[in-house]
Amino acid sequence: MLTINISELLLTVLSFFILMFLLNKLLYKPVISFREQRQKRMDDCHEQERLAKEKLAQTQKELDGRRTDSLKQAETILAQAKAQAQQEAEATAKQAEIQAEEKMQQAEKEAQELRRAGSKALEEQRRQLAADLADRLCH
Amino acid sequence: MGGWNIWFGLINFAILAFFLYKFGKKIVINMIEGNRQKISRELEEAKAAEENARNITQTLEDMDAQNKSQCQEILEQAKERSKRGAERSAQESRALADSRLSEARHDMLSLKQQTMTELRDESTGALLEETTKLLEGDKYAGERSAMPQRFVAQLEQMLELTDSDKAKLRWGDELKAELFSAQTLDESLVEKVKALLENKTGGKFSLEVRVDPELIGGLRLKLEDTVYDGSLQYMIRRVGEELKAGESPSEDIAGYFKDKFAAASNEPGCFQTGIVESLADGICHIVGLSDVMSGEMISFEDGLQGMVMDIEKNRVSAVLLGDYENIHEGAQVRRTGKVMEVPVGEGLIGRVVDGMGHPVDGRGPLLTSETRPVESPAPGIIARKPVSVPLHTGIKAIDALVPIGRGQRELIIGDRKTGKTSIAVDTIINQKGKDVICIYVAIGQKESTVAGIVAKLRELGAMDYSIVISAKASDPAPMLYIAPYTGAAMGEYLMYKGRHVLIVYDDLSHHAVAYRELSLLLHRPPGREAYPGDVFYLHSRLLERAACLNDENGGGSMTALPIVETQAGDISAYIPTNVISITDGQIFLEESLFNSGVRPAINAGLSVSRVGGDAQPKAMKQFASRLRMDLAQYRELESFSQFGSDLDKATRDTLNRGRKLTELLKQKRFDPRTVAEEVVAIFAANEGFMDDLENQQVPEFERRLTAYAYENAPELCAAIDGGKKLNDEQIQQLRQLIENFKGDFRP
Repeated sequence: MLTINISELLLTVLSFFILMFLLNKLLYKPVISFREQRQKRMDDCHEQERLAKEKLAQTQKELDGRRTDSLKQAETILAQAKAQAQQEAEATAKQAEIQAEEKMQQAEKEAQELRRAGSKALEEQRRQLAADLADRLCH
Repeated sequence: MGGWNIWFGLINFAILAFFLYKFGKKIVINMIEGNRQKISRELEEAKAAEENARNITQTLEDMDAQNKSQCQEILEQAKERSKRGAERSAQESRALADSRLSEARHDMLSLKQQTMTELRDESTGALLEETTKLLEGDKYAGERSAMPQRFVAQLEQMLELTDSDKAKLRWGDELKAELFSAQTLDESLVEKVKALLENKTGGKFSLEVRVDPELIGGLRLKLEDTVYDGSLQYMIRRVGEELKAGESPSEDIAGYFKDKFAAASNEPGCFQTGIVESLADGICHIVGLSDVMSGEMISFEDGLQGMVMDIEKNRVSAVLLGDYENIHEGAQVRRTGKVMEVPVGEGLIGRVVDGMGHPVDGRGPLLTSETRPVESPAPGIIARKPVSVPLHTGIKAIDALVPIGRGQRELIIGDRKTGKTSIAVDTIINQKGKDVICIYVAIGQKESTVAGIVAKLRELGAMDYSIVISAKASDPAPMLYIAPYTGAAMGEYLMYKGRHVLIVYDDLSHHAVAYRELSLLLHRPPGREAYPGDVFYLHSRLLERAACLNDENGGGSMTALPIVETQAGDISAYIPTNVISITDGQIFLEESLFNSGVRPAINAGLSVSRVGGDAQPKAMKQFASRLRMDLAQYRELESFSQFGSDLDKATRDTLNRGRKLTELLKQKRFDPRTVAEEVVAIFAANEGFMDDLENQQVPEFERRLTAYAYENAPELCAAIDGGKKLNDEQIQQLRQLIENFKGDFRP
C-alpha cells in the first residue's frame, strides 16, 4: 500500500531546495549575468550607431549650412565685385564722356575760329581770287 | 520495502529519461540552435553597428575636411571670378571709353570738315558772283571779244555727230542748230560755223543765231540735243559745280580756292540736254537726251539727280532721286554720262546714309572719295568658291538648325511682328570682333524704328563695324527702289577688297511694292498682283551679288539676309515664293509660336539652310542632327498626344525631351551665345541632363552650365569655339563636366 513517508518527503523537498540554491548560485546567476552583459554590449553598439547617425545628420546639416553660407558669401563677393566694376565702368564712361564733350567744345571753338579766320582771309583775298579765276577762264 | 522503492524510483527515472530523450531532444536542440543563431545574428548586428558608427565617425572627419576645402574653393573661385570679371569689365569699359573718344575725334574732324565745307559753299557763290562782275566789266572786254574766235577753232576739233543725229540724217531729217553769243557775232564767224556744220551734216541742217547776254562771253552751239558750250556763264557754273562736288577744303581755304581756280578748265564743254515734258509722283518724262543710256544719271538745273529707267522713241522716263518741288515743265536736264554711283569704302563704317549714300546722321561729310556703280554684274562662277566658313549668328536655334555660311543668302520670312528684324539685328551684334562688316538696309521703315536700331547698335558697339542705309517710309519710291542696290554696291566694294560682309535687306516686300509703284507710273504692263514682269529679276540680280569669292579674287564674301513679310503666314504669295527660290534657304517665323512665347519664333519644320550645313562648326554638327530629330519627333507626337491622355513611357519621354529642347532654344534679344555655349547646352539636352528639370529651370540651368564650362574646361570650350570636332575623350570630358555641374546644381 502506498503511503506518504513524511520524512522522505521532507528530505526530498529539502534536497530540491538545496539543489535550487546550488543551481541558482553556481549556474543561473553567472549565465544571466553573462547574458545581461552581452545584451548591454549589443545595446551599446546600437546606441553608438544611433548617436553616430544623429551626429552625421546634424553634421550634414551643419556642412550644408556652411556650404550655403559660403555660396552666399561668394554671391556677395561677386555682387560686390560686379557693383564695383559697374561703378568703375560708369566712372570711366563718364570720364570719357566728359573728355569727349571737352574735345567737342574745343573743336567747336576751333571750328568757329577756323571759320572766322577763313572768312577773313577770303574777304581779304576775294578780289584777287576772283581776278585769278577770271584770268584763268579768259586765257 | 526500502530497496524496492529505490529500484522503483530508478526505473521511473530511467523511463522518464528515456521518454525525455526520445521526444524532447530535438525540440531542445532546435531551441538551443535557434537561440544560438539569434544571439549570433544580434552579435553580428551589434558588430556591424559598431563598425558603422566607427565609419560614420571617420566619414564625419572626412566630410568636415572636404566641406572646408569646398567652401574654401567656392570662395576662392568667387574671388577669382570677381577678379576676372573686374578685369573684363575694366577692359570693356576702357574699350567703350576709347571708342567714345575715337568717336569724339571723328566728330571733331567731321565738324572741322563740315565747317570748312559750309564756308566753301557759302563763299563759292560770292566768289563766282565777284568773278562774273569782273568778267562783265571793261577790263575783260578784249578777252570776251576774242573768245568766239577761239571757240570756233576748238569746235573744229570737238564737233561730232551723235548716233541719234546720224540716225536723223539717215531718215532724211534736217538737224536743227542754234548758235548763242553774248554779243552780236561777226558774219565771218557765223559762216565758219555753218561751214563746219555743212561738213558734218552734208548740208542737212538749219542754223539760227541768237544773242544772249547772260552768256557773258564766248559761244554756245546747240546741235539737236547736244550742246557745245564755250560760254563764260557755263565755265563759271562748271567751276561752282566742281567745287561743290570736290573734297572738303583744308584749313587754308584761300589757298584751296587758289589751287582750284588755277586748275579750273577754260575748255568748252560738250553735253546732251533734254526738256522736262511732264512730271508726276517722282517720275519725269523728258524730251531730248537722245543718246542717253539706261540707268544713266541725269542732272537737273537745281542739282537734283534722276536715273533713266525707260527709253522710248520720242521721250525718256526717269525716276527722281530727291525732292522735286523746284522742277517744272520745260526745265532743262543734262546727261552726266555716268550710271548711278554711290560712295563706298571704309569711311562709311559707323555712318547712317540715305539711299543715295548721302550722310543723314549729322556727323559731317563721309571720309571717303571712292564711288562704285549701284548696279554691277554679280561675280561669275569662276570667281566663286563654295560656302564653307560659318557665319555665327549667336542664336542657338539658327546656328543649330539652319546654320548660315559666309557668302550664303538666307531669307528671313514671317508675318509682321514676329521678330524678323530682331534676328537680323542680333546677328549683326554677334559679329563684334569677327572681322565682318555689317550693312543694314532699311527699306520703307519708319524713321523712329531705324533710329531705335541705330541707337541700339551704337549702344552695343556694333556701329564700329556697321553701315546703315535708311530709305524711310516717307521717301519717294525711287529712293526705296535704289537703297538695296546702294547697300549691295557698298558691300561689294568691301568684298572685292577681301573683307567679309553681312548685308541685311529689311525688307524686300517694301522694295517690291516700291518697284511696283514705279513700274505702274512708268506705264509698264502689270502682271500677277500688279507687279511688273521683271520683279523676279529685280531681286535675283540683287541677291546674286552675295557671294563667297575664291582666293584669287581676294577671298572676301558677302552674306545676304533678305527679309520678306508675309500676310497671314502665306509663304506661297508671289514675292515670298520668288525670294525663296532665289535664296539658299529660309528661316520661317511663325506668329502662333511668337504669341505662345517661343522666341525666336522659328518654325524648325519649314526653315531650311541649303548650303549652311557644310559651313557649320564641326562640334555643332556632331550634336545638332540629334536635336533636329528629337524636335521633329516631338512636333509629330505633340499634336498626336492631344487626342489621348494615356501615353506610354517612350512617348512621354519624347514629349518631355521636346519641351526641354523648345525651352532651351528660346533666347532673349541682344543676348548672343558663343559656339561653345551653344554646343554645351545642346549636348546637355541631348544627353538627357535636362529631362528631370522643370521647364522654367532650363534657362537658369543653361546659363550656369555654360559659365561653369568656361570656368572649368576652358581648353575644351576653346576647341569648340575654334570649330574643332570633339573626339571620344573630349565628349567623355564634356559629359563628366555636366555631371559634376548637375550634382551641384540647386535651382
